[in-house]
Amino acid sequence: MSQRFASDTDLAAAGPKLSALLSTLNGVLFGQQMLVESVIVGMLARGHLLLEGLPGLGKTELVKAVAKAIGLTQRRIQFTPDLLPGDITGNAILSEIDGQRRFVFQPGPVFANIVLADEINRASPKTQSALLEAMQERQVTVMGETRALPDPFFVLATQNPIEMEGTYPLPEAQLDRFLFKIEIHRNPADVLKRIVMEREIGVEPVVNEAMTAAEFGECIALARRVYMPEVVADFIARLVHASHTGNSAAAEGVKFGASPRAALALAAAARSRALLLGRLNASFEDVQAVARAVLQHRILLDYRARVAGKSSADVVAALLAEVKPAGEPIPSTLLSAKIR
Amino acid sequence: MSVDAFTFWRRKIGWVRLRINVGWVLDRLLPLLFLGAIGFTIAVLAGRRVGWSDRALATGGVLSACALVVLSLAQARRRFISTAQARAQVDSTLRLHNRLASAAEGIGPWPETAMWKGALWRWNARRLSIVPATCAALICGAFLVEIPLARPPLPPPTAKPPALAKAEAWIDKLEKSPDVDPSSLEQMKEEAEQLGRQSAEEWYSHAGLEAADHLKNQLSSGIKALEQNATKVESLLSAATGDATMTEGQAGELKEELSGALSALEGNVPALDKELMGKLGKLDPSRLRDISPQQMKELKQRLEHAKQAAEDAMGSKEGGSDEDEESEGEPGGRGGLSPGPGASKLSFEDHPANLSTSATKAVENPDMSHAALGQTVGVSAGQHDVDKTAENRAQSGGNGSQGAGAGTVWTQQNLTPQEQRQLQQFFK
Repeated sequence: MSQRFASDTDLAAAGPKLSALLSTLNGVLFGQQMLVESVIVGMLARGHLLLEGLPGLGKTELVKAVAKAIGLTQRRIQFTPDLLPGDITGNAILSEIDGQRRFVFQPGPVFANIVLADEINRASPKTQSALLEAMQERQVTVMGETRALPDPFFVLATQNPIEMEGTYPLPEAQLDRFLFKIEIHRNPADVLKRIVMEREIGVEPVVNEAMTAAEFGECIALARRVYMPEVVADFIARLVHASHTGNSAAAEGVKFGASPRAALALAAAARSRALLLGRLNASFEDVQAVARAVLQHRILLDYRARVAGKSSADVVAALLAEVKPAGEPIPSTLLSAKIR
Repeated sequence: MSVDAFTFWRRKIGWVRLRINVGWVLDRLLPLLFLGAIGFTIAVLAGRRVGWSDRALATGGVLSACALVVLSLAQARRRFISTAQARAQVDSTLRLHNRLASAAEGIGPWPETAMWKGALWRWNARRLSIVPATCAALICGAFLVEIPLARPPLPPPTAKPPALAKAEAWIDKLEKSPDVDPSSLEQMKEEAEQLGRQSAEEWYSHAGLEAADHLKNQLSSGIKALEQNATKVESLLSAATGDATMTEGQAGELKEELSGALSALEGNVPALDKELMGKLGKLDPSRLRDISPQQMKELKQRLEHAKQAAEDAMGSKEGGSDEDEESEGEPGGRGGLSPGPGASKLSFEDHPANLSTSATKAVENPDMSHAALGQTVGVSAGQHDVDKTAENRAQSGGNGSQGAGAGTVWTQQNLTPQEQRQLQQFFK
């Protein structure tokens, strides 16, 4: 049993390191605890993350800090319309070696543990698909030769939600490759004050290594062994099922609901969150916490719902309100209240 | 600690499961109970009206309630939760992060007992009290409200209409009399029997009552005519035999009267016995003296018997009156042919309304040029057509017609000459 599922001993070993990682990242990025938690949860689930937010909110800073705190390599790619697939994956360059001219593969920026794909929606679909293929296969093929990407491999892509002119929005099938879509919000005034007091332009904060890459790999493996109770799996299944039109009132206006991959993503994310918070099992609360990040980019609304101002996040919120974690509702003859 | 926590949570989960399942039963039972209470209330009201005992009704109510409980149990079974579902319910409600579900699978410890909060599964007192209270009020009201027992339906009438019964009785009596011809009564008897063969409801239908009344009146008229004509014939016979100085003319008149009375008797229903009628028909008033006193006496006696039979048939009072019939028959309310007391008065007041007007003015508008369409049929210039040749003959008081051609014009001349002079003086 202890081999199959995470044990207290495993938890005791991983817990402090994950806590240290969290506190390190929170010490770099002020006032974004939820964002930091979501990024760590997503990485523990071996997922790629799509960050949506305005420029200057600390996305690059976060990626750099994560890489430093875990001891991973990181590269940043600024996506532009003229970016070519080879600019990402790498190119074969004609080089003279030992007096012979040969094509030598020059690895692209994708060959890093963490790749920050900045403004991914500004690149052409061809370039986007090259990166997305690498995300899916965790390998690239150049000149007929397949090369594995470093392990672990994460893509943290960003996109600007307001400047849509001249962009190439990611198709739904490619959006589905991202485990999370995380919205980054502006900081409140007190957080801004702290940033002003403790940070300076051009000076990068000092980030201590909280764990090694190998230890992070162990945590990833441990996250897979976190116990998923049947009732929680049932809740995930009902939630995903209810995201399709006709299966719930919340799915009114939904054109395409969440896929089975979304259910798997929910389960993986719930397990990772349970591990991060020091628990041996995933729970209803974990599913509810990650549901928005997992589902909102996987639920496609029809034009009427969009015209009415409805968003996928609204649908997810409605789903969480409608689908009861424990399944059967309480009869009206009983009054049941949840502990807040 | 772990074993204690295991036992504690097992009991609590069982308690929650039981409470939720009972809650489902009650959830299904309450609407059924409400509908059942309405139905039972109607049944109690109807049952009490027809005289069912309260005990029987209460037993029926208890059995119905038991049936509803069984029905709601069967319906609620589909919603019953298992122990695992109850555990999930507790996990979710207490926000235990599914530690109960994990601990039940042997992963991780059971949560601390202090995390239990039983008050989170309270009964919904409002819902649980309103429906039963309403049901109890309905049922108690149904038992307590005053309800008169329903009257049994009226039995079908057994007695024939009085007119028909009377006619049948008259016919029976007349048939027994030797001085009345029974064959003359056959048609009436057949009609009476035909009416009597009708169903009891039809006896008192309008048509049945009318037919019986008509039959009785017809028979009554016939009996009266028989009696009158027999009396007349008897008196004519007495007159003829008693007057020794009868002239030829007188004898002729007497003969004429006698033949008239006899012909009336002959066509009458009931008719006199044929033999008697034959003897009477052969009588010649001018030769009545030739008849032996014995024969005359016999004729008179038979006429007297016929008269007596007619009187007997109709009772001591002649023909009987409507009032008698009504008093003899069944109580009123079955209709009849006699008209009511007449049309109701048109005014509800003793005195006409005083409109406080002392003068009467005619309103007229000679200018028809502004009349709207439909307000007048037509306008023509002309003069009244007065008959100036009519005589103005005064009559001596009372009502009189003034002006031969006036037609509908009537005046009343009740004034004395002095009054007329006073009037002329006034208008001068």
